Amino acid sequence: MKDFKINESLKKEIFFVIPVFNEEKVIGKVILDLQKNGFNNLILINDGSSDNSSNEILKYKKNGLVLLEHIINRGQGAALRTGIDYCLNQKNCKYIVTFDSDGQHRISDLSKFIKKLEENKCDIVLGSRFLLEESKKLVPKKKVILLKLALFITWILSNIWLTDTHNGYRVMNKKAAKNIEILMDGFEHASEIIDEISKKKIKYCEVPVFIDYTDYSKAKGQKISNAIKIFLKMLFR
Amino acid sequence: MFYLVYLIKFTKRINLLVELFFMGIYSMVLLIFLFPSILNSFGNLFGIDSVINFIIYLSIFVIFFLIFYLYRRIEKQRVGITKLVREIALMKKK
Repeated sequence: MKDFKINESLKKEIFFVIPVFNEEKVIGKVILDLQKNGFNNLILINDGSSDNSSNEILKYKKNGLVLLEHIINRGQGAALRTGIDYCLNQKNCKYIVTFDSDGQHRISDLSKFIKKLEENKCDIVLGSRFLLEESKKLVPKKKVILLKLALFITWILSNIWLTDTHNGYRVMNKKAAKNIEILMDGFEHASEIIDEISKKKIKYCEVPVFIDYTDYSKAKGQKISNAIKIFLKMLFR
Repeated sequence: MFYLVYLIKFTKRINLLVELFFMGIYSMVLLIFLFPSILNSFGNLFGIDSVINFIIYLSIFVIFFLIFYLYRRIEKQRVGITKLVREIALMKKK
């Protein structure tokens, strides 16, 4: 893929929605990385964290960084919805990036998403760890089985075949953000987003992304019991 | 009747329909306990062979219906709570 450079004026139109739950150890680094790369429109949603995430975030408060606080924990889906609703009310918001707070995503992959959107090829771009050989090799075996199962279930329920259905790295334009309705609070929101894309015939595409697996992020990852819960919630939606 | 009066006068808490429903269930169970032959009369009236089995199957149906109804109510409340939490977060942005 030819390198696409995001210019400074476009960076001012890109808003990052970052749900945070008990990430005081890593959130500072995530914010710093984004700010160093010139991205200042950071919308962080503290989803009822019991640690010091809030104070840690406020240490990096600069123009453009906004902290929204859920008074009780509601789940990643609810936090994303709060952030997206905020971005939709910002006049200078052109693209909304959903970005994980555990440091797994790379800012260097963003240009691939923006290139697709600028070329009007789609309204939402989804990241896939399975489209990049180096990233594919690093996915823990248990996670591969879970994710492949999720692909199959997504295909049955939503009639969409993707290579990675539960990747938190997505970029969408305002049109897609307005159309996608996230009602599910927890991790099942990822499947719900795919379902919405299918139902509302939103133009989508996938791009390869690198996922940095650390012991910290692996410990926070989803368990098999979550996968079963997600499947049942989507079935009875 | 005395129970209803007690609820209205002393507790000032009454959801009449719910109280009447459960009172009805308890009264029926008490009646069947005191006069078991009522079951035979009931069975003969509606042409049911085994009334006990009928009651058990009906109870299972009612219980599942109630579980489903409660699930829908809980879901509605979950959506409402999340909406409230999100609105508060947007109002109090830092």
